[in-house]
Amino acid sequence: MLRLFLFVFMYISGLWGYSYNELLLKTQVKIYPKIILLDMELENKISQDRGIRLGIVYDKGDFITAEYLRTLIKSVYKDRLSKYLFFAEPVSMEDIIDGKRRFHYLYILKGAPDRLRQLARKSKILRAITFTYDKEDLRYGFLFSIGIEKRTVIYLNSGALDNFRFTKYIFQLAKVIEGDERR
Amino acid sequence: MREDKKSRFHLSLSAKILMYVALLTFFMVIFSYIIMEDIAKKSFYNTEVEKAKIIARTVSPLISMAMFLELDSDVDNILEELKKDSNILSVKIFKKGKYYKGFEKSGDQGQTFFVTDTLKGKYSDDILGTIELKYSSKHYNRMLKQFRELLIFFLSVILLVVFFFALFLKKLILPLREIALKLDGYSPKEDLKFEYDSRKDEVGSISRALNNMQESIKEYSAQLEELNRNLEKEVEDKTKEVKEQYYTDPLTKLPNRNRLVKDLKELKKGGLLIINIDDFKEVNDYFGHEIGDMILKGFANRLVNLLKNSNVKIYRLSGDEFAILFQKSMTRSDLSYFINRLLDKIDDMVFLPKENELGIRVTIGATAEMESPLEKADIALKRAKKERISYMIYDRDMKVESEYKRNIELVKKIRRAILDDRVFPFFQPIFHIESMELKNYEALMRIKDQNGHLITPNQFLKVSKKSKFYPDLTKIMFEKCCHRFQNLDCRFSFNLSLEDILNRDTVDFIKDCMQNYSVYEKTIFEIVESEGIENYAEIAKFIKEIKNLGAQIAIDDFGSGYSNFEHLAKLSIDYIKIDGTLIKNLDSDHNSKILVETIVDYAQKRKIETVAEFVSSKTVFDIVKGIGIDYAQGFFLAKPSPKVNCQ
Repeated sequence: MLRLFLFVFMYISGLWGYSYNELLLKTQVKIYPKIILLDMELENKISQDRGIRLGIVYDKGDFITAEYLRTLIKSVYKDRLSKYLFFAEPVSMEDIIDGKRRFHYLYILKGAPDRLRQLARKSKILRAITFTYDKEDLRYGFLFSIGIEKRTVIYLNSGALDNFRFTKYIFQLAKVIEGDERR
Repeated sequence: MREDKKSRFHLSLSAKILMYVALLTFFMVIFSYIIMEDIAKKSFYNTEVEKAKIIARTVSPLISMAMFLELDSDVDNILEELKKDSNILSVKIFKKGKYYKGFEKSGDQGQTFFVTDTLKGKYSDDILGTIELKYSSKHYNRMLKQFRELLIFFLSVILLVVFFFALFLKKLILPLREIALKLDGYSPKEDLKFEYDSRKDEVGSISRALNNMQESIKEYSAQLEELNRNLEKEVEDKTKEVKEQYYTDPLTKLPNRNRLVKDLKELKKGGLLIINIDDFKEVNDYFGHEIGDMILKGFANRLVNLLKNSNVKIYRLSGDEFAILFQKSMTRSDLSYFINRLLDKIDDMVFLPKENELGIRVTIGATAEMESPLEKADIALKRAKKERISYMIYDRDMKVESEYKRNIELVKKIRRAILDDRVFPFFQPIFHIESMELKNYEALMRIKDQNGHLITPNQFLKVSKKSKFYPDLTKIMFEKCCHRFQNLDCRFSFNLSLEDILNRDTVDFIKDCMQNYSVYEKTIFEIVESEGIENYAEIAKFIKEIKNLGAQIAIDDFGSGYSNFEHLAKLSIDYIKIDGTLIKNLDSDHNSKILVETIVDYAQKRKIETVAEFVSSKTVFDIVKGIGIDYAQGFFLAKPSPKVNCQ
């Protein structure tokens, strides 16, 4: 099933013009939920059913990728992250920007720069911790990204850190960058 | 020898202080070194362990985080960083019990510190694995070495400081040592100068005090010496005086017995005469002590004048005894010749106390033997007195020593007999001649020796009177007699000597005994006639006392001496016991018979009953009966025996 999804995903994403590195995606799926666990305010952000909700934010025409990621996350975590329930949900950038839906944690896929800028602003207002697929997108004001170079590197945008509180060791492991183009 | 050893190892005060300070410091340094090294060791060890733990604790969250986020390359990075630290010898990361990553440096690692830490996830119960870290001890050893060097240096400096301090102390004490050396063997005659008197400190004070003290001591010493000189002279004079008194007779100024004893010790050969003035007591009694002393002084002077050209020394031994010591070897014939000439000269001496012409007679005992000469001359004198001859020269044939030995043995026997209760009375019956009734018994003392042989009074009485046991013999005998006769219906006569009568303790005992056994009227005391004459007053008093109590008195051995009817008349006596020597000769000696008849006649006229002793045969008994004697005793009638048979 996952392989079929992967085939469709590759095909359609190729049609719409957003292409994703499969390895990077898998790496991000493996690491981002764990970074959520490093949030010191996690307990305040869990829902009533003691679940952690991660919004997979997609731009127009990128729903398949978001759905693919949801499936991937589900297959990896099986709805549980440590002691919590864990759900990933695809959500359009408009819904977030328009405030139709709210998440504490957002996994942002590729998107148009304008919308990404709006999303970054909205995320900041909503105090959502953001993870981007593309590390270049950090410049809009998103917080985390992962890149695969000689080794896997976690990027942390210090400009977007605001008052978020994480386990201090994340700062030692992550590569801290000044990625906010607004500054 | 011991003293030498002591002085050889004598240490001065400063040396002692130095030694004690050095010892104390040495032990303190050693102690400090041991303690501080131990503390440092533990401290360094803990520090190094703590360092290793800190490293482990520092990296373990990072590693945990990297492992949590599955960033293996970050774990590798961390390991690479750790590897750079030369002190970290190996790191091993275990993930869920299995070796995950790590490194180990090669080479000799020596002593190491090993620490482990848990790799925890986000939550405490989420254990990801463990990290084991091996830390090198090189730094620890280096630190320890540095510390030791520093410590040794520090302690060496302390030792050095203490050493210099001790030297300084020694220097401070040095003046005291010098003062002490000067004072050692100090004599007030010496003039010591203590040089530190100008100093302001304690040494200066001591020096000044000693200088001042010297002056006082000198002054006091001079006074003391003067006092000592006077005392010595006084002691010398007194000693001389006492010596003179000790060796000189104060009356005649002749050397005394002490001097003679001393001279005899120094003399190897010679001869000795002891001259006793006969009956000098009577001279004293008759003319008084003043005249007596004058005669003694005169006699001494005449002896001195008489013998001034002879090689002899003259001594006064006691009241009426003088001695002449020959300082050259003398034979018996020499002595005899000398004594005869001397006696002639003494016979010619006339003393004129208050115009009364008075001559003296002397008895001389002499010896030519210089072994215990005083005793030998004394023995000869006593023998001469006894034999009533004017002189006697000691001769070994006198066998006096063996007699003395015999007497000593006898005294021992008496003592033993008293202790073993072997003194007891024998009783000889006395019969009334007319009725031949047994009237009473004479108690006669017997001692049984250790072999069971009986000893009669004629063997021991004389000796016992000279010993201290005589009063005990009398008491034992009398008590036993009282005990025996207390319930019998007859009397007993008990011989009392002059010694008994004159001994107040014995008399009191006798009186108590008579009272205790109620034998006043059963007791007749026999007193020897001759003793009664010589001590008339004492005997008369005793007789009166005893008769008042109810006892009776018999005069014993009457007729043996110079029987004095005048004295007898004054005494209130009940019986006259006629001396046995007269009775036993009645059948052969007509004079004895006349004497006995006279005594009996006198007694009958004075209503005194008479007793004949020593009635040894029928013939004597018949004569005794014929004369009219009231009682008789003797072997013919009954022998003494321990038994009493009163009818």
